[in-house]
Amino acid sequence: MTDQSRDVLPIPGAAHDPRSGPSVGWRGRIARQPTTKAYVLLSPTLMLLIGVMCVPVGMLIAYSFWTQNYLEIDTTFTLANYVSVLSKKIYPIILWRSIVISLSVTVATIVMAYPIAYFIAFRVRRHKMIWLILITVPFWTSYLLRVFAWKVILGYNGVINSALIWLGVIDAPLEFLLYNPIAVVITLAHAWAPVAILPIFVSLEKIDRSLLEAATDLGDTPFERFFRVTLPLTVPGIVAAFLLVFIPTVGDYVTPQLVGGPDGMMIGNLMYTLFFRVNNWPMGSALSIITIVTITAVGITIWRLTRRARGKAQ
Amino acid sequence: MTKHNIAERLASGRVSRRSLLRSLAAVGVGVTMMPAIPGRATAAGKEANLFTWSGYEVPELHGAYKAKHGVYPDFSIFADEDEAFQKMRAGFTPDVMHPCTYNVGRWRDADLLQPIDTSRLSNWGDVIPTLKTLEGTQEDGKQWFVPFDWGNTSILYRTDLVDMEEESWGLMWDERYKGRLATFGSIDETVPYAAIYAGIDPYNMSPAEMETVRKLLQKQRPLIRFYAAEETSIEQALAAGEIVAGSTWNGSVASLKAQGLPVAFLNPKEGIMTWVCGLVIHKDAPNLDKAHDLIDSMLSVEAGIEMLNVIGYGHANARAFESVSDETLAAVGLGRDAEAFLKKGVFSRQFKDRDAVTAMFEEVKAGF
Repeated sequence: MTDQSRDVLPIPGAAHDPRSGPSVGWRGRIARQPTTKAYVLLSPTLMLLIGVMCVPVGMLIAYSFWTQNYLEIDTTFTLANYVSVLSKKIYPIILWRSIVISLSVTVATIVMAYPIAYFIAFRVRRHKMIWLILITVPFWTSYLLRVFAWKVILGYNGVINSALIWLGVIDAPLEFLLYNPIAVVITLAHAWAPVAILPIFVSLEKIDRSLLEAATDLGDTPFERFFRVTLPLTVPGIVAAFLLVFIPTVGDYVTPQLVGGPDGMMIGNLMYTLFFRVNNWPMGSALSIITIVTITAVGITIWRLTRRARGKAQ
Repeated sequence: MTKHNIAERLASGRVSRRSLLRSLAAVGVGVTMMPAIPGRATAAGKEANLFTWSGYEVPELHGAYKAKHGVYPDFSIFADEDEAFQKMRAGFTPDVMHPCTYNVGRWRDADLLQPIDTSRLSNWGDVIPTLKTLEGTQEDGKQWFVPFDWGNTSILYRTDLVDMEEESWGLMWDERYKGRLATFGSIDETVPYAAIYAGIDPYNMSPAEMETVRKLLQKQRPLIRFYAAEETSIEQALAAGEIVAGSTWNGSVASLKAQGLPVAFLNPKEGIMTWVCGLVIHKDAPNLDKAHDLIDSMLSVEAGIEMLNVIGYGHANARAFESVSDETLAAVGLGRDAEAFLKKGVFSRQFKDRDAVTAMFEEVKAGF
């Protein structure tokens, strides 16, 4: 029954003889803890996360306290970069502009995504999965190509201008469509729409249909029923969509670079400049850390503000 | 029925050490074998790798290399030299790179270059003599830079949309064309002509002079529709009529005139900008012999004919000029005499304080 010649891992739950080897004593007790088991299971992912995320962020933090000397890095600890970033007008203002653009994108995306999610959740009877896949398929294509497509649509000789001229509505092409923050908001809202549709769809699906029936029985019109029952119950989905769209779009680089024009520059472009043009990696790292902290602060604020609304939905 | 479900066995703890180690070894062997899978191109491939601006990977420029080695060289493209610099500092190792003269010193200081052995270049004797001794290209008696192409930076404008009395850089500050102008976003192209317009030497600016140039660029900003990263966006916008004038190089003249558009290349009274770009070899170039062959092939007469007739820039090989007509050269604003050409304009150099100029221009572009 006890096969001592078998080499067994000290993974708890293993049916092996506990009389010998590392499974005895305090190490064995640790090995049998559920948390150790969890960590061992997670370890490949943990290694990947640590290597791909924690190490680079750690390097960013380290760089942000150093300074750049022409081609060398001076590794004496200094806060000069942070002082520089926070005191020059350009960085806080562009960061503020990025947050405002991002908030506009998020609101626009959620407003557009909600009806689509509602349609799939309530009006589609069969094959909901296929609808969802079809709607998210554009998201699988290259992001860069989608931004270029918007450049073609909004451009001087683009789809919108050509159509309006052909219809005779305007004589000369509209110039305000491209190379400004509006173009950035339009492009980003389109690019991130599928990301907002999915969480809202999930929370709409979870609504107990009997609650809606009850509301109708108690005399609510469909309109009132939506605002008093459906919408509050989907707040968790909306908050999830908000965070999923807001956090990545603040630091976007490609869209402002291609369709933003001089006024549409965002914080991601400034970071690119610091790293690739000015060749000042420490300053770029300081700017990145400040951006990360700011976005986290905004995210936590949203989370806190909606705590009560989310609690009611639970 | 035995199901070899590793995940299930791992979760219930029924994996023996031997079988776990076997699976890990298989993963390790698989990962190590991946680079051996054929068909994966890397910078350290078998052919010489040319790291260059876009547009220079056309086969006609590399005919001599193909004739000698049977295949074309590999190409990696950069949009501007700052990006190329950062990429190489991060470890990218091409064989031959294509910077302009003003960056040779910086790249050499960053320990990215090795001298070129001109005795291995059969076409070196035909290179225009002035171009061999440009500033910054020779050090310790060695040749660090082989000239390849030369030309102008100036304004290309639509003759049917622009009312031009006297050719001057002031076109880029003309309020009549507000929102219909475009310029390059890089400092090497745009900041110098602002300084030239103000009568300042762009490459030795004092802080007060830099302030003057900054104000001038800030005055220009509301008139600019977009700051371009490459000349194709300017060419397309000019062709569509979206902009009436944009800063660009001779090559754009050739390509737009070929499309039949009424364009002209500005020859400003304050002085046109000139540049010479060429080839350098990376310090750790993996294919040194092929690198020299590549440089030699780009210096050949046939590459020169392609450059002069089709692409529209000057070439370093004097013999290539023999087969090109005066009209072709004049159409793109070049001449036969490279020495006189370079003397006439403001030659592109390295800024005295490049990082300060970059910071200034980026702030102007952002609106500050």
